[in-house]
Amino acid sequence: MTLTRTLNVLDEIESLVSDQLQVVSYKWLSRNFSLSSNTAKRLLKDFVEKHGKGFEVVYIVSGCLKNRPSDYSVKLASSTQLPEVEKEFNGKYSVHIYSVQASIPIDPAAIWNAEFVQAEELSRQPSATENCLRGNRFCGISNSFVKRNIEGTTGNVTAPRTESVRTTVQSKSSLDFQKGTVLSNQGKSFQHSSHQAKSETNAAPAQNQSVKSSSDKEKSFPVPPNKKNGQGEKSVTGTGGSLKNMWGRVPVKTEDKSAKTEVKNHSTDHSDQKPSHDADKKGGSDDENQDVNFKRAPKSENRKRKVIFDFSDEEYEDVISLASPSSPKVNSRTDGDLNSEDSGPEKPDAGVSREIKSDEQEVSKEDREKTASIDASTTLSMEKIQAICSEAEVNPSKGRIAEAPSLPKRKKTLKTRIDERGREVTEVVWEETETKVKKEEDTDTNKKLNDGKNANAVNRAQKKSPAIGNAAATNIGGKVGSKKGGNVKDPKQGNIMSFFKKV
Amino acid sequence: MESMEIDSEKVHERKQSDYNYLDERFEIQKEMYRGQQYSQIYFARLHLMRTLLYSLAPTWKPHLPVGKVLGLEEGKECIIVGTLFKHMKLKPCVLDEYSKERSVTPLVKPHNFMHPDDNLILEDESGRVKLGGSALSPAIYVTGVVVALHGKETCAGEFFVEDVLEAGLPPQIERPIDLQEDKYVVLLSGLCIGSKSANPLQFQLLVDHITGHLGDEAEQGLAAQIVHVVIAGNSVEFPRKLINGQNLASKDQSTLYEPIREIDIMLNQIAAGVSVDIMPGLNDPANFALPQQPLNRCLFPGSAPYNTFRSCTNPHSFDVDNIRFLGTSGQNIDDLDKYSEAKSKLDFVERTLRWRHLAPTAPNTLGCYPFTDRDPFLIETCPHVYFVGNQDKYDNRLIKGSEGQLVRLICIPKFCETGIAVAVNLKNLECHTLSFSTQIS
Repeated sequence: MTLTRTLNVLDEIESLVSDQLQVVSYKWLSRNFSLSSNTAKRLLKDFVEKHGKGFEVVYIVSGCLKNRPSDYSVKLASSTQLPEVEKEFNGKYSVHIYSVQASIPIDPAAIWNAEFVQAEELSRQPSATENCLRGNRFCGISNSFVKRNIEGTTGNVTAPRTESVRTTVQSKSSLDFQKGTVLSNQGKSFQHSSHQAKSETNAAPAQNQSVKSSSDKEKSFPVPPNKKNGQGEKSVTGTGGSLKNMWGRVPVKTEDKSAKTEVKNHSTDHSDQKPSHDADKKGGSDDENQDVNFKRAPKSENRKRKVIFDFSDEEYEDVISLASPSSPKVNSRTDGDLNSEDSGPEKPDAGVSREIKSDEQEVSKEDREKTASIDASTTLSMEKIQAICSEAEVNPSKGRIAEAPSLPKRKKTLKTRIDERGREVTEVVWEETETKVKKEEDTDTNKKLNDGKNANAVNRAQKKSPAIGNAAATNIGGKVGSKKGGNVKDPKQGNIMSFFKKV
Repeated sequence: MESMEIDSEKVHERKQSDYNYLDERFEIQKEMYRGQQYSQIYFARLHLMRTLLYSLAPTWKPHLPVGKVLGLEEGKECIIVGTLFKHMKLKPCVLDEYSKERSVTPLVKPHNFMHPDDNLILEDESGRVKLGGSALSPAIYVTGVVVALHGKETCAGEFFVEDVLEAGLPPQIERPIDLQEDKYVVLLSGLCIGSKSANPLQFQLLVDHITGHLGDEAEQGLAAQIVHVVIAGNSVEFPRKLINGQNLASKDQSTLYEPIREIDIMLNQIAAGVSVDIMPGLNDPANFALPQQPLNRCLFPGSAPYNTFRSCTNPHSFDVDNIRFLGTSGQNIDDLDKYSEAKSKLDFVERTLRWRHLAPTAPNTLGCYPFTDRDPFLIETCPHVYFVGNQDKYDNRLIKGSEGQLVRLICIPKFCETGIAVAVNLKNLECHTLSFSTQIS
């Protein structure tokens, strides 16, 4: 240490002790000035030599006692006690200065307070910060085998570790999710719950959309099965502000918007279901589906809702597209360093998602076809929204259609055809551009709903300007669609996209 | 500045050792409670111990037949194996306590319930028989011990005991003899942070010593030989008045949390330097029934991230460099102290080892989980170091078994009262104390 620094420190010690009446122990000194403990002790010794009078010194004597030579003993002693205490020790013992203070407190523990306050402050620093408390760097013993895991060690035991890497925004959102307080959070949580609940089905439309939409590359719809807990949600939503992304993105991606609006609309509906969703995280998608279905039973309208989450691409490269045949892709998400911890929960879900995928493959294919046929890729597709809403488990997204929101004249036509997998598909085709793919499943109870809703949607769409266009969508989507229609009634108002454009 | 210091100071490298965690048998995550009662754990205990005793009986008294209680014939000498039951007049009955005061019972003060009229009964699945004779002293035995008895039935219907066979020390794995250097494991218990008697400065001195802040370089070199630290229970003590079933005011809540935060910060300091295990004790925020499950890692947000920090069950079993440690936070020995007598606590400790059961009074008077298919407290392998925490004073003893087993028994004193921690040398199983005193006025 340079002489000047030494002097500075000594002066500071003096002011602390005499003016602020603080107890300066060597530990406190070492942490405060980033010195090693041994250096701090030396400094205190220098200090006492210089300013000794007027301060009380507490010495620490350590070594072996005379009457118990094999036992190690440490004693604190004030300067008056020091000679006697030293006599108790035999052989090699060491005397250091433990602390200097203005006066010796009655309760010895008071000497410890300043040091503890300092330790508390250090411990309060964010968990990722390395500090002298955590690194134990000023002692005389080094241990290279100590490792400190910063990621996600606290809190949710079930949360995959990588999740914690995400920013606090996410954590907040997941917390909020648990509380279900804010709408936006609810929206997020809705995603989450829907993830959990209907990972496969929801993913399917979402992914289909992503597949279709050129702008949507991947869904940061992280294998919902994998992230089925509050924290899992973090990964789902990506780094902070994904909810914001959700909204902001809508203009860009047709399906996204619809998905997001869908989400938003549904969030309130599902908010009550969230906690339970949270609860059954890893139950496996089946459990969750059941759970969800059970919860949703009372709201029959919601049954067929699907949430399509289009998350920003930036977070997730290989977003699982349920459309693609490989659920390993789901598991291979590389975002956020998914580690093996996720593999556990992933597995059962992956299996389930695989099943769904097969169903949805057709959809996706169809969707792709449709997409191709649709020129306008205006994001906001009501159909998408409707698709989101649509049949819970099996039916993949219905509304994968991006339609031009503002087409003045549209005539709805229903076309039925057999697609390549032998399914009967009813499409609602608007003359101009919109097409709707509706998959008919065997057990499709949605059909009726869809039809009904479609009719509604259609009607509404016809009434209003076809800005939304996608009104042809299925069921609930229809409702949403109508809402959307409500939003953008006037063709002159311009693009529906503008509604969702990022501010 | 930093570099200058490092050059002039020697930084010791902490010694390393292998650690094996052996607490799986004490974990109850996989157990399912279906409303069962305790008969199954007793049966498991009897079954396992009886098999063992049957194998030992021929070497003990080869000429005698071994039989069940129901097969006793008057006057015929034989060996019977069963569970002891001690009928105690003064043993507190929960119904009496309930009728006396219908409120939350305060901590039961340790009190010995022995009475000269206590008598022993042997029980197996076929029946029970009262035991007589002086070979078996009711003062020494407690309910739940499985023994083999040699004797005969008297005309009064009693079984007159002539000799007793206990299971004895279990087999021990050979201690590695090639440990060249001194390595120490520090055991401490009874920190009682949050109680009035706890002195945080004392504990801080201990932490500073273990982590290498205290003393000169030679002493820090000694501290660098500490490879493991075990905290055996009762690390925190919550103010009892707050836990009375009422909702806590928010300021009370922070008071409740203070001890945990303090222990977390201290553990953080330890874990940053050396491997540390923390066991739950009677006063810790863990479950009551043995085996106590590990304290939740969420209680220690500062310490849990370290790979050196381990939250363990009570009882706790682990290996360091192939030296087997087994220990509890003291509830088992304290319970023995209530229902039997001995000259020193170490006698109780030795008895549990010879009976091959950590807590024979569980579930009779010691809270215990109703296991259905096993008794996790049976000691199957003899430890090299057997420690018991939260005792009144420090004590240790080296015992030898009939097959050459060597065990160091340690009673760890309460740190809040004595300021003493125990250090065991892995090389030769010797132990010494680390004592800290803060009397400055």
